[in-house]
Amino acid sequence: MTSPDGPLAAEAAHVPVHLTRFVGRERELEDLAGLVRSARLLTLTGAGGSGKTRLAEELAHRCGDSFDRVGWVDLAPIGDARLVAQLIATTLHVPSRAGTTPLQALVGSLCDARALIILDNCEHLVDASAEIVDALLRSCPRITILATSREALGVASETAWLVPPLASAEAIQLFVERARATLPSFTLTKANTDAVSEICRRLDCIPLAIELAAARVRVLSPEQIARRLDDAFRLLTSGSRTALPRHRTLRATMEWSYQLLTEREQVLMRRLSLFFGSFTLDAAEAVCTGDPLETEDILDGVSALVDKSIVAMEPGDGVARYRLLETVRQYGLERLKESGERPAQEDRYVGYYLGVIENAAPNLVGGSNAPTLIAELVAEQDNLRACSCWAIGRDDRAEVALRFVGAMYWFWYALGQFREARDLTDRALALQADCAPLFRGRALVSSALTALAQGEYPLACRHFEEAFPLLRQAGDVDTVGAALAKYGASQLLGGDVEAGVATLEEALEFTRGRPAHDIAVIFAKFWRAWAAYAQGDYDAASELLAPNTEVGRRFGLPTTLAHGLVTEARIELARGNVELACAKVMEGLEIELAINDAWGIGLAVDVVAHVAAERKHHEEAVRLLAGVAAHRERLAVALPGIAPAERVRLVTMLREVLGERYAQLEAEGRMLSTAQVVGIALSEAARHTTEHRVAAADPLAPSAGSDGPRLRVLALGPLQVFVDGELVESMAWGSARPRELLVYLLMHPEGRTKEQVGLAFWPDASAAQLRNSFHVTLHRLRKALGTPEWITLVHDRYRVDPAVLEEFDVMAFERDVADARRSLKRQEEGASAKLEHALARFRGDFLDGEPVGDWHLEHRDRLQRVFVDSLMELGARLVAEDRHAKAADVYRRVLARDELHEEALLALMKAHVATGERTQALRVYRRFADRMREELDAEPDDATTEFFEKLQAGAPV
Amino acid sequence: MQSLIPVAHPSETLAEVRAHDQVMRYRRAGAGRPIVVLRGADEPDALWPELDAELISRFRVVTPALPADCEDVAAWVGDFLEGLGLDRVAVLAAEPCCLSALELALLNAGQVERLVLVPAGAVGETALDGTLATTLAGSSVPLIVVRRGLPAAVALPLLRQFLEHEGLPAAVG
Repeated sequence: MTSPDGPLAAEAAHVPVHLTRFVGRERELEDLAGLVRSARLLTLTGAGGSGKTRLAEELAHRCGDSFDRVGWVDLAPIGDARLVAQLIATTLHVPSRAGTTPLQALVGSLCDARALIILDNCEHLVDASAEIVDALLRSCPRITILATSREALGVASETAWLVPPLASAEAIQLFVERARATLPSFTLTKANTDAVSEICRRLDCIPLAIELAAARVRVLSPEQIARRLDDAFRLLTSGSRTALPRHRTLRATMEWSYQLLTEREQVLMRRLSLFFGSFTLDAAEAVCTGDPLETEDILDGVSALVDKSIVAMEPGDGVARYRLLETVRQYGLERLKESGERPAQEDRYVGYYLGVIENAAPNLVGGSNAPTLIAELVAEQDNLRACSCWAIGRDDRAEVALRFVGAMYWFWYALGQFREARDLTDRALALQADCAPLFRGRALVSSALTALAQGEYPLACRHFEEAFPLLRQAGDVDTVGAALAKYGASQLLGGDVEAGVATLEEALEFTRGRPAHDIAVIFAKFWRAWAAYAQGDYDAASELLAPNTEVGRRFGLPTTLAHGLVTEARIELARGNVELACAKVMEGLEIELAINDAWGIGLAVDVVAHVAAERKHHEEAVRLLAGVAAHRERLAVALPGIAPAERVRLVTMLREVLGERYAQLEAEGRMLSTAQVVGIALSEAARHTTEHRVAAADPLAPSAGSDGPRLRVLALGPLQVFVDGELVESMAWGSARPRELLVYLLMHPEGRTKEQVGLAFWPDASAAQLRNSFHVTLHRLRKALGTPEWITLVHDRYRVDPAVLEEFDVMAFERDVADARRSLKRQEEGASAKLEHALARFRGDFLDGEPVGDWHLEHRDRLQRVFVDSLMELGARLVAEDRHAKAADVYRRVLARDELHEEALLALMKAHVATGERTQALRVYRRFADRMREELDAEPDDATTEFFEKLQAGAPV
Repeated sequence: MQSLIPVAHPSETLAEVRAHDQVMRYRRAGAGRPIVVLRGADEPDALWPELDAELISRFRVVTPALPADCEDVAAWVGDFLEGLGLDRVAVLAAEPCCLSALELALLNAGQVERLVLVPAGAVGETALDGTLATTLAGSSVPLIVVRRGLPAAVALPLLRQFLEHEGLPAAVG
């Protein structure tokens, strides 16, 4: 997982990138660049759609180099003023100490930083943003804040800068660019220039208004657009000659654009505006279906809205994601409210995401597909946060709130968002809810797990103790089983080793009989091993850990394997086996990095620091210890500190050896980002490990699935696709294109990029249309197959997972034919039968009767040539074997495919002669010659004619 | 946050707005829905002394520093409001800004959500209220005229009632 939210991306609250090009604004950017360097707070103001965010992005890209750090925080996804500081801190990965507010933590982290912080979309939280910005500017003299907001923040030292409309020429350029995205053939001509400039003038050169209008060029000419806008705006000014006030123009354009949608599209747009951030088609189908929209309507509707610039597609690969521009979303929300549908839709929306997180929850920890699942959920983070906050903010949805926090812990863990976990869990638990014990119990477990990770052991114990009776009452044995070990861990780390051991024994007992890869078993063994380690019983600890690392390897469970290895490394270190410890921790650390497990990374680097010290690499040891301490603070987590005495010894030794250098190295270490700390750790660990490396070719390769291949595709002749032996009915495909995509991908087993597919499928489409068509088709294909993972994306290439492919006849045909022809050449026994068998796969032309693109012609011709050439070889072989009747059959098959295949004709005539059917030979020649004259206005070859004439004359041949 | 008390002479203003090639300065105080107060720099008694505290306790009070040489106050305030991003905002204008505020409400229909005018003079003991129709379809501006001559004990409750009437939408969110 390489999410931008992961702990390794400490500096990477990235400035967004876009699919569409940034147009114009050169003069403004120059002015603004000067202001960014001189002002403390620069706020870009202006109506929605004036291009504040895009301008800020461009500015951040250009000025970023003048700062040590650039952080981008989008406030649009949060609706709660209390979360502003929290969100900024989380996004910037700001260190925090226990007992500090997020704002204090921010100030602490940024007080000396030369940083540019961009706060995008502040308008709905002006007071809260102003308060935080004011505090930051007062306490952090070297930071600059760039905000975008419809409304200025009104903070002392603010420069509010009204984003002006585009210059006329820029506006026209923008119109043309966006029009081309919809209609690639659109150009500015003498005939339409006036209309386009009139549109831009009418729309006050407001970028979003122009985009909305330009999106209509596929259906309306620029003249028609200009006229209709004129009519629409005249209505709003009661027919007076007064121009529409500038700040009303966008609203009016949006209104106009909305009115041009079909009624169903309007309904869809309203409902889509509930999504915070981006959404997938699956989510849209689940949330937006309902009178008058059927599930099938959603896909086409979203496509139509993309075409009309109402919905934008996100850059990136994999499952397509869409979003409404904030301004459009706000408008849609208003219309949703007006329609009276909002409460019901909100419940659907929140219900959908509750389902998403609850379904994922049991598989987020320990399982082999956990990293994939988490990567998928990261994309949904804005929605998950919005939904959980929505529920937490309403007393009448307290149960929903508790269910959210109860299901979200391992997601928070994976992202290292312990601070947010604490805040939301506390607030949900504080709701006075008349709630099922199951949900309250699970929420308490989330709270306890957060407390455990943050080192608040007494709180963790209290909440576990409160949760267990509720969960037992509800019969949720699995949660109890997994939580018992964590309860033991909390007791253990809290200092009560005896109670901890007792609870962990109970956890082992409780899970006895369950399989070794059960997460409850893994937890119980892991923490019981820690307890043994704490008690100095290294053998027992190793023995307990061994099954975990083993199932970790066997079942491809990265977290289990990595935590096991790192803990084994600790034990080896305690035993004095430094190099073995190093080999183990290196392997563990690499896995932790691959899955971006922040907590585990901290655990591993800590061990490497000890290894470095043992190797007398004292400077590295100090840097690593300090770096890992800072990393922990950034995450607001505690690492198990079982052996404080050991640590004190280590630090004392390092201080003695390094003297005055110690403090300096420690300060250096604290300044390191997590990525830098990991870099040092890896090079330290790599120094000695080659010969000690634990042998494992591919430690994470899961054992082969028991299901076996399940997809069968027959494309030689009419196309047939079978999933688990069942024919996929044509209804399920929606259209022919998804089927075509499947075959296209199968024809390129090495994978194809989106662009390559686009070139083959939609050669005339614009880049935007291509992306949309591609993802729509891919979505339909995945739906039709029923298992989305079958189409994989690796390094920008899409392909059909070869593991699920039972048969693809084209591939089998080419392979078997080649094989048989080799046998034939070597005159092997049974070669002709083998070839005949292989040729039987050819039921007809490649994709016969399918409405497919030209890309298939090349393959169709090649496959037909292979078929015909092979038949000719087979025929020759049969003749050599004196099986003339059979050979005649074969040549007839050639002529059936290619009636002007003269070589086949001659061979067929000879075969007939060999079986004594001279008349038949004469007949086939005459038929052939007639066809030839008709088709080609030509005569057969001399050799053939000569043979025919001899036959006709009764001469020996 | 620390409140910035609006002053009659906002020359030492702290925040600025750049819009339409002008640099405009203003003060802000309080939190909540915004209200824009227009008053002349040289008219310290144009409003009741008790009004500042009353407004700050309920609203985000924005007081622009009108340039001394401003020829078209209505247009200037329109640009200022646009630069600050204040859309559909309550405006309270004291002499000599009353006429400009009226003009603003007509000119930038929809930008002014409701309007309080405080003309000078002690004549008359009543306040007038009504609505101002604009050319923007469906747009009219509730209006109240309260003479400066009215005692604060009478005027302030009237203003409070008028300003807190339903229909002042918070900034879009």
